[in-house]
Amino acid sequence: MADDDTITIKGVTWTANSSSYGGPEINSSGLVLSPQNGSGFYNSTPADAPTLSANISDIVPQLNSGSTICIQWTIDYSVDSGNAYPDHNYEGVGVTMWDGANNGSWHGIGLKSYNNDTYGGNLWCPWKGAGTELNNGSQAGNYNSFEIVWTFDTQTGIVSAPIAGSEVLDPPLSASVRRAYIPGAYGTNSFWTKQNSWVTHPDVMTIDNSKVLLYSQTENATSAARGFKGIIKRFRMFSVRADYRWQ
Amino acid sequence: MTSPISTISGVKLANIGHLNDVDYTGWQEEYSINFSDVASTGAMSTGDTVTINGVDWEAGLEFAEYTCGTIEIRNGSGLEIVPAAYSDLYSVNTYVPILSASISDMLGEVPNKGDILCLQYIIAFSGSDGQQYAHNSYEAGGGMFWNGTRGGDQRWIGGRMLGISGNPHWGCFVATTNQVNVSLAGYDDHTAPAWETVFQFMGQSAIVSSGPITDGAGTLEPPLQQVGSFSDGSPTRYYMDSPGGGFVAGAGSWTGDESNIMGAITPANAGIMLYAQKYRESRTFKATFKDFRLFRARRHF
Repeated sequence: MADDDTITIKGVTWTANSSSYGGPEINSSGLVLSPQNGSGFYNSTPADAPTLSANISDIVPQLNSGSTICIQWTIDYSVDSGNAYPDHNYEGVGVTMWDGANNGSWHGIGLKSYNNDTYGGNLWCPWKGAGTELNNGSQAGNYNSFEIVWTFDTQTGIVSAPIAGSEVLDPPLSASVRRAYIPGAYGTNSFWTKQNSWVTHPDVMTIDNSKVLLYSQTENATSAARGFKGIIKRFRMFSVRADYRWQ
Repeated sequence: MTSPISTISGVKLANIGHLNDVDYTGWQEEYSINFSDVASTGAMSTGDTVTINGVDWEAGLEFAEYTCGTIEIRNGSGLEIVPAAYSDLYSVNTYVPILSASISDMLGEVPNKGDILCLQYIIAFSGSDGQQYAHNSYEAGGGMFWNGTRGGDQRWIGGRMLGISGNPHWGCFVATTNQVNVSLAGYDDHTAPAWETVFQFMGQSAIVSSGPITDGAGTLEPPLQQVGSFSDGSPTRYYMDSPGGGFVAGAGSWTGDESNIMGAITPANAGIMLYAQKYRESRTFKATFKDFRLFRARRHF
């Protein structure tokens, strides 16, 4: 897909970006993301990686301020040769919530499988945009199934995965082999405020600005040469809401 | 675009669906009291309980060997809490008379960690002389969500009226010292009788509101619908997200510990504390609680 190409899937418009970094393609394998050298957006713009994105409010049109959403997906990995999982430095595939900012200060809560030589290989890596990762050697492993649970009114996230290698999508919060939490990811924490920060603070994920962004990345030429691809196979969202109102 | 979605077979790419309104019930009133209708208890001692509408409420008068005041329910009046001199709820101090009960008892079950709770009450103040509202430093009374602990590990969040230097203040307060107190100096009326705190376990977030500032009796409205105005026109409402100080650890950072986001007031330990305090000995000061209600909006996950 070329930049700004759209595809409507089950009533939701998805937008492609960053053809210069590989762009997205949907074929009989799934959503194929073939990152090119130098792609990635750790502390940089998501325009620097092949992406497909959609508005969360389009996917789940009846969200309210008390809503909790759950995003689930499965990933396959493909290479022409070698280890199919992210195996070279900064090869990766993931999904993140995204506030739509195309700069190095984007906001979002995400989860990716990516290789980091510093920490010994492929990692299960929670990510808070633009540059806060849970990133260490204990996160190593090859994962295919992922989940983000996000509560808007408290800007709180829970990310999970089932056992390594599983492509099963279980009901929300059932997968718990891998799990991490982020309380008060954005907004005004620990201060009494006259207006709720998740509505008024400029740096929060709201129902109106939140998108889901499916992407891949690599930061070396070897990945493209070996034909590394991330293939997102399944994607689904759930929501739970409480009907109370923040004013 | 190489292939429209309709041509894909055997692949569940973008299997997009949503389940709205799972476990949606809206606000439900789970428990209520009109303290004026409750049979008189006489003066309660520490550890005394009174069962009201099926829930045991326990009196606590002592802290660190000090007797902090008196508690009595008087039929026709309400729950009367009279603090002793130098009583104080602040930092590691719990030198206040408290009547408390368990949230689980009020709900008939341990709440789900996704539940959102709303505490409401009507409170009136009186003094043996002078102004009939909290104005001397530090006369106060209010109701809080509470972890049931006194001393260094105590955690609460809620609203209260607080006297400071001769003026009443509208206050929101999260343990142990994080508070905003809005002076009502110059107002025609001097107290907020109808209070509300909405609290959710995840993120330990709260919305503290009151109804109008009035010397009248006040009335309770449905959750998040009662709100008055400060003199600048802003609503009598404050918000708190992810408080520190022993509630939510490491806000904004990843953690592997669920307790960091669920915080100090948990579904298992959550309770309600109703209390009053004063500093000066010069007059008898009394907080009288009238109506009490607890609502829940379910968000089970």
